[in-house]
Amino acid sequence: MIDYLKGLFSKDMWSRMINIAQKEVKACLRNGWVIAIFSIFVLLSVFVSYFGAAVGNGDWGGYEQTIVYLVAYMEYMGAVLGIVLGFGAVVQEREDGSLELLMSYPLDRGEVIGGKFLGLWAVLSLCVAGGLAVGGVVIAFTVEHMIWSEYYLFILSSVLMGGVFLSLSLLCSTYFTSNNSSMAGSVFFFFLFNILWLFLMYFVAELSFGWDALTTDKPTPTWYFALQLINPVVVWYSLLATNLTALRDYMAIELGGTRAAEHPEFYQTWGLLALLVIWIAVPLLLAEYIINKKAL
Amino acid sequence: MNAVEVKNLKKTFGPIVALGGVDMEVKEGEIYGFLGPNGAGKTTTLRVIMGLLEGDEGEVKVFGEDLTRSSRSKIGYLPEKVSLYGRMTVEENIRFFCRIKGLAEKECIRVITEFKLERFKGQLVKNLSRGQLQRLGLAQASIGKPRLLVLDEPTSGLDPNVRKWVKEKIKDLKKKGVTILLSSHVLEEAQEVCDRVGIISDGGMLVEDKVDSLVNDLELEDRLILDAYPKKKALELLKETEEARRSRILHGKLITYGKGSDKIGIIKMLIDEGIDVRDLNVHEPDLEEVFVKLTEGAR
Repeated sequence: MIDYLKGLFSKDMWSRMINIAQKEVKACLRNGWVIAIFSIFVLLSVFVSYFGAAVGNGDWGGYEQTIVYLVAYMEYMGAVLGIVLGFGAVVQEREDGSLELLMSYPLDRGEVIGGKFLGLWAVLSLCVAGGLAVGGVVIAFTVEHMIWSEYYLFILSSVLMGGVFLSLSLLCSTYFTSNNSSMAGSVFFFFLFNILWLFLMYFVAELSFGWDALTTDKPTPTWYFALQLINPVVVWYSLLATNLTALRDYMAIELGGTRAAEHPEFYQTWGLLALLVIWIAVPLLLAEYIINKKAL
Repeated sequence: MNAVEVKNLKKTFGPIVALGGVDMEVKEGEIYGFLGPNGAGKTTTLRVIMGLLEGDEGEVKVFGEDLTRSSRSKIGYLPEKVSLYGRMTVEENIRFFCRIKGLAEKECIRVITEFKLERFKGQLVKNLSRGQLQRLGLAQASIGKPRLLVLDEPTSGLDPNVRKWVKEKIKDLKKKGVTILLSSHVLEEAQEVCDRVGIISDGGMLVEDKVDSLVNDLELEDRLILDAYPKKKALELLKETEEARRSRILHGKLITYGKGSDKIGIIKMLIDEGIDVRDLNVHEPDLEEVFVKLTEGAR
């Protein structure tokens, strides 16, 4: 373990990982599919930003709605981007044979996973930050009360949330031996955290304290809020809901000031950001463990 | 010191025994040909040597050490299917692998020059021909001047010109002191370039020696190719003799085997029996015959 931690601070290791990351970025930027997805993402961001803001004719209500639309859009698109970039990263190279060649060089398998993640995350960050930045400029031109500090947090947390799905799909790409299985595994995580989770938590609520407590003044137990943090999408959403004034106000108005707009005290910004980082790190460590055990 | 030493290497994939106890010694500075029919265990052995696969039992040493990061930096590897990064140019691929080995720009330029890649260094790898790709593959294996090159079927599927170039390059690398371990099923080529060969079949090493020694030790007979008429009668006559009972007709030619004075006796007997012998070619035993004899015996 100590050797492992020492390795994390080795200059050579970082230089090899950055080399692999650069290779990933180069390959992505020459991949027509990635360029197409990036373009669609930016266009959609602009579309959502412009029309979201336009709904309120440039007043404060318009800004709130725009942020809500953008959050809803990012909830799916961030995850989709992470999956698209990550699901084939290892398995495709294994199928092509280039992974075998790379592993014959003096480098650790974990460095390959780390390097791939860094490179693909850089591409994802470029897409997300680029798309949302362009969207932010559109909003700033349309409304008067743009709160940039909150918007930066929105961009940062979205980059982290996309990173979680990238990390999960890299795990699938390492675990499975075919591209299709890896894609299926990644899509499973998407459905689990974006759709199934909601039903699962309603089910848990119904069995324990009655789901109506979520929308009425009945107290919701703290453990329920803690349990929600198992889902990285909820972590991300809670981070935004506790920090974005526009989103908080919108939820309070739309949900009639009910408990659904409230969060327990332990939902702290740094804690939630750290949880997203942990959600990135754990699948990567698992992927490293698997690739070290697996024959190429 | 041996460049590679493999002792009692075993590997199974589920119920299939891929390697049933392989022993191998590759001496420093030699070209070692690792031969065997398809599925004999050549690639599995090479992959274990490269650390890409873990053996179930046995020992693998490279230059006297277990395989570590440091020993891996002394090895260059060319897999059977050369897979480089298609969306990167030739130069970018070379630079990428140089950096992985922690080598400077100078090495990148050396490799590009030595392997004559200048002409297409700006091309994307996915657009290269099979021959250019193999040239690039061999170049990447030579990055950092490794002491050992492991080449899996380096001439497979290449046109004659590229094959010739690869063979020349292998000999050239040997002259520079590089040890080369190559697997092949093209026996003629192995005979041409290898100092020693090891023949594997069904996951077990059958023999390991110099090509000449193998031919002599097995006391193989010369092969006689006859253009003789009438063929059928000639074949019947040959099959009646003890020396030439393995005779057969192949591609319209009569083929038989014999050693030393036997050969003269066989020809004399055919002529005495009224056979019209119009042409005669004598082939000394080669690696192919060693291979056939050993692998047939193993089955």
